[in-house]
Amino acid sequence: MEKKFKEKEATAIINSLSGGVVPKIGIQHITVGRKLEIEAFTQALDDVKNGHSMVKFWIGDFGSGKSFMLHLLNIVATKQKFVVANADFTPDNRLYSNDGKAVALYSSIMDNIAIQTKPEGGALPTLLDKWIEQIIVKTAQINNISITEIREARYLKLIQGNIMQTVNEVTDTGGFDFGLVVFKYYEGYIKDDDHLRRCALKWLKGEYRTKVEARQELGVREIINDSNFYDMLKNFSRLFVSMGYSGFMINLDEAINLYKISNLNVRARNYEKILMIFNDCFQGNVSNLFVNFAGTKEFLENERRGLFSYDALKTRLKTNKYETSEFRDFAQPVIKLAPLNHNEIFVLLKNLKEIFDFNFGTNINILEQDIQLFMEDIFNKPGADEFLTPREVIRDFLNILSILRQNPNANKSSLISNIVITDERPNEIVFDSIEEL
Amino acid sequence: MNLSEVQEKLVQMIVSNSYVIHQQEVDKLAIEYGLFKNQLIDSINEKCSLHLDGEALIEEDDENYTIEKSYFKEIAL
Repeated sequence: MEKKFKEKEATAIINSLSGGVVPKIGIQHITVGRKLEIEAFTQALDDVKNGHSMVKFWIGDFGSGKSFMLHLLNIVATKQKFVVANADFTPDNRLYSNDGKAVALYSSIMDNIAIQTKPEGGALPTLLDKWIEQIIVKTAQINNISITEIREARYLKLIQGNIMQTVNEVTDTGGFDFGLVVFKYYEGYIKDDDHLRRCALKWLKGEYRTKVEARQELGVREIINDSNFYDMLKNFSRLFVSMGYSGFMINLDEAINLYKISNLNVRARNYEKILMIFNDCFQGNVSNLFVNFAGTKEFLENERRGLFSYDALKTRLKTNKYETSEFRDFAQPVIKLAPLNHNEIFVLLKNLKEIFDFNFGTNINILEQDIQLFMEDIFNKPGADEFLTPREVIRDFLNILSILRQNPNANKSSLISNIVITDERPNEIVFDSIEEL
Repeated sequence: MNLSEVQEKLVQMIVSNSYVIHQQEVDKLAIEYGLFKNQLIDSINEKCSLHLDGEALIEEDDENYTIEKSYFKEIAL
């Protein structure tokens, strides 16, 4: 197929990158220099498709493209029929807590569930509808009832029986309430009761805060909370596979926020949860689950606050000592993202110019030699080697294109020479010196 | 492409409606043919994906389904 951008992809790329964030869609068009990483990832995806589970840690400096990488993984995985979800660790979202911060992470994951036909997230209702449709079709076939007829209220019990049976097959802990809620969702679907469907979705997304509220609205005893959310994710993973998907991939970004947890005990509990997920995946306790973490080198290797402060993780995540920048080992759980070289950045900027022109229907007068000049200028600024990131280079380049689009008479050479670069890196090392609580 | 009657009908409906259609319309058409909405969409995407490098022809967009114009041109060739 000829290389083409979708209009919405081009708009998302230009708008997001101009704002310094990674676009949710279309980033395959601006990917450069990650061929080996993607090949290794595709191989890992095949393993997960075949029933294994996997955890990867994508480690890189500020601006090295970790978030970009995770979004790229989503595109590759959805194309291979995976259900994917992205969520960021924040001061209020983490893996372990007893004050709602862990279930907040779960809600964020469930909110961002994406599939190929709904790549920007919010695909949970679609998945539930698909699953219910499959069960109805199966029930209709087994009982020789027509598809139109089986929607009638008299067959509710029959459908409920099949929903519960499938749920029992695919769920482990918490399966009973999970099944009841999915059935409520079906009732809402068949009776066109939007309120009931919304309540069921609210439960499945972990948004009920009290059991009383959930019991009143749905008649279930339990809710998804800080302590059972991981079981629920595993249930969903099995459910997706039973529907014919290849697996469930969860990407957790901004892991530095775990490193920043000031309470030693809480931080250790979070790392313990990572260890639990790691062991579950590699010991075969869970199948078709792929979990990716993205964080900085400090998050991984800092012996006081990072994952390496937790011995069991340190032994599992130590880099292959024979790996060099020339001889990489992408099969290990930790993949270190090398910064893009200048040639790769050149290709990236050239691609961006093409997408920019496609998006605005323009042909901005920036030639390859102008891109070269831009790069020479920006990379020769004092401090550039130390702190200039692709994010900043891209933003400056798009800003120049934007000025030239709106002011065709502007002098491109003076725009390029007027670029000022700043150090945008957050100071993570400073946390190392903060006293533990 | 070898699309069935209902599959072709749906693609034409979307294309002639400026490449977008409300999900309820798809639901109605699917029921008419003894199918479900997602079943119909998935079956079309599956048939087209080979010609689109694994991409989906029909995507969901809020309450609608959409077809990317350039993808349609690709399969129409």
